[in-house]
Amino acid sequence: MHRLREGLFIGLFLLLVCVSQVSSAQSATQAEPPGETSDPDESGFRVTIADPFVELHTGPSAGYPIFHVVDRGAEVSILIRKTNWFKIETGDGKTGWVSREQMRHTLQPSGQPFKVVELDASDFAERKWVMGVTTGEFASAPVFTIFGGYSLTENLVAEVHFGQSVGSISSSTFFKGNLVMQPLPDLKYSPYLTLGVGKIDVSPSSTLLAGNDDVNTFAQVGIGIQRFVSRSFLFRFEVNEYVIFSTTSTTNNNEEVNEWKFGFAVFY
Amino acid sequence: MEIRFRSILLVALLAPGFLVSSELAAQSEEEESGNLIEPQIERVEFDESLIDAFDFELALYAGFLAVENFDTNLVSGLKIGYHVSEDFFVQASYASSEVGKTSFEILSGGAPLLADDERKVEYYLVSLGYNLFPGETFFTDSTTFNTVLYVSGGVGSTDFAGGDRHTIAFAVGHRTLFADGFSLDIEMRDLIFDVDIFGSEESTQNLEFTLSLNLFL
Repeated sequence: MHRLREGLFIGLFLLLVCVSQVSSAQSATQAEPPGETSDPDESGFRVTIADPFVELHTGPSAGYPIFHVVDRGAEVSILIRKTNWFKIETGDGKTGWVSREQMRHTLQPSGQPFKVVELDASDFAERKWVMGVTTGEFASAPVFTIFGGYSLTENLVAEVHFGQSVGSISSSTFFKGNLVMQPLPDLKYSPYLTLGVGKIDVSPSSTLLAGNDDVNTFAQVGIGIQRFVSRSFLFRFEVNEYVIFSTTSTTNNNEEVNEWKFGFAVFY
Repeated sequence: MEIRFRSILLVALLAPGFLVSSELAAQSEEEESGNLIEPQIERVEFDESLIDAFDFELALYAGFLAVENFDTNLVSGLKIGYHVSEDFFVQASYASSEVGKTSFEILSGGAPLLADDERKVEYYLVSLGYNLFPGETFFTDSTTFNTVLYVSGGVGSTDFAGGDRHTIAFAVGHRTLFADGFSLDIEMRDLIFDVDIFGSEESTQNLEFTLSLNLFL
């Protein structure tokens, strides 16, 4: 059980690293400039403000106060980025944070809407990687799952789920591979169907009599709905039916288990 | 009347020709002088992905965990976070601690409730956080640090008293950013899970107070 938990944590970390690599590679290809590029030097990227003016906040959020304004035509250096905010340095040495919204024309010289950033429903449909967490009930016991997925086509996503359910009689850990079919990926509320297979490890609760772990194969079918919320963020709700192929059960019957869960995910 | 009709007819006939000729004139003028609108600013294009981003967060934390009915002990753990936007972040945390004896065990002097290996507490959580109040701390008259008060809610599992317990957690934290890539957080977290070692299943509130060192990558 401990090894499983450590594995889960390491897996999550690797997934995060992997996703960050992919997202930076993606933005690199999408932001490919047609003309001459400026190379970063020690003081960051030197750009000329093309927006009418930009407001410098003391921190990377709209909640921090504005302390300075830079007009069109001024030369500034872009130092770093945090979420949707750029830290810039003006010619006279002032540093502050500017929102991407205000830097739109400076960043994208043609003045077109900045596609890489402002993901909308169509970007949601074009996403490649997804990673998330869900919680709900599995056989009337609370369940917690993390999952990662990759879009094979616009309508088909391959997902891997790792979950844990802790009940009063027994607790279980499961691992499953899922195929997610979305007939209408462009909708804001997009329905989907899932089919999966996996392994489940059921162990009796500690306070009851000790028993052996029971590892079984299962198949799963489900339906769900997911909603694109904001930039690279989505919520989902799903209902699943599991058939566990019991090998040790005395009656040798298959066990049927229901599950519902909701959660959120980040996509790239 | 007839004159009027004739003039309308004349205008209708001549107008397109006039328009075409004036358009041609404008075109030739434009060709002579090049582009009419000169861009005012020479823009340097750049590849945005080359700018360092600080969206990922790696943290080590330590503090105290009070397990209900048991005593308070040191806890230490690890957090990995990703900042989705200026407001929202997701975070995975893992920590471990150990509990001592309940007051009943100490007073009665009887058999211990738990075996030694059951006194280990380990939990992992996945949380969604929200930066509620951004602010500033005026350290000296010339040194200012950005701060933020954040809240988060998460789910996960706690391994305690020989079993895994489904856990819900709520937290409030205060972050002080000493540099763009480094912060110090003080966090108060409530871990809620069911414990059944006293006969019946009861929900316990377990408070954790920690200090964490965060690196942004």
